[in-house]
Amino acid sequence: MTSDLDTDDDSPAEQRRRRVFRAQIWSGAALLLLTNVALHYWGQAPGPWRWFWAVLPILPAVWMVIALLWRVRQLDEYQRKLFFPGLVVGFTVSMVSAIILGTLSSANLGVPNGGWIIAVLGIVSWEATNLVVGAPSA
Amino acid sequence: MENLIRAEREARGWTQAMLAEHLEVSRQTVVALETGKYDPSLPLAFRISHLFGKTIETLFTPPPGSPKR
Repeated sequence: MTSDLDTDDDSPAEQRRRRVFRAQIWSGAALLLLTNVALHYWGQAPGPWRWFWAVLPILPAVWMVIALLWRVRQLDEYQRKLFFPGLVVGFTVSMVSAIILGTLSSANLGVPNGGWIIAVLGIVSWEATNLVVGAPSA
Repeated sequence: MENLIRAEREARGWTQAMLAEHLEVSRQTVVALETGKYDPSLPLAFRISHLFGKTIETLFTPPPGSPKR
């Protein structure tokens, strides 16, 4: 039941919003990667610079959160409805992972780099849910 | 809920993307509205009604079995 008027193209405004979001989120991701590489090479040395390299990756991470919030504000009511389950699942998985790692740590079974495990599990479950519910892609 | 959005759009020769632009929503939302997968909020229903120059009651039909006035 399609016609010539049913195309796969999004509206120009939506395309523009997606382009801007992609540029913002990928620039943030690239900076996050670069700052983590810098942290890996220079963050181990003793002294005050260690703090600088440790805190530096937080800036692109915050930038990515801000870009995501801007994008969510631009979503229309149906897109927000689709976007919500992924956030709920991602948040829940992250929280449960944090609790599990916390209890393991309390029993002296701490997992090294546990923060990254929490982050990866949260992001993967968020994106997997987005795929299942057909949430708007970046 | 069934609706006449697709018929009204095609009568005007608009693409889904054009309607999305008029309503300031995504094409994904227009597709969901046209297929009855998503019922719009009241503000969006009024925007659609205003755009097509038809009343909400004309554009949207409640599902069978729903209470009538």
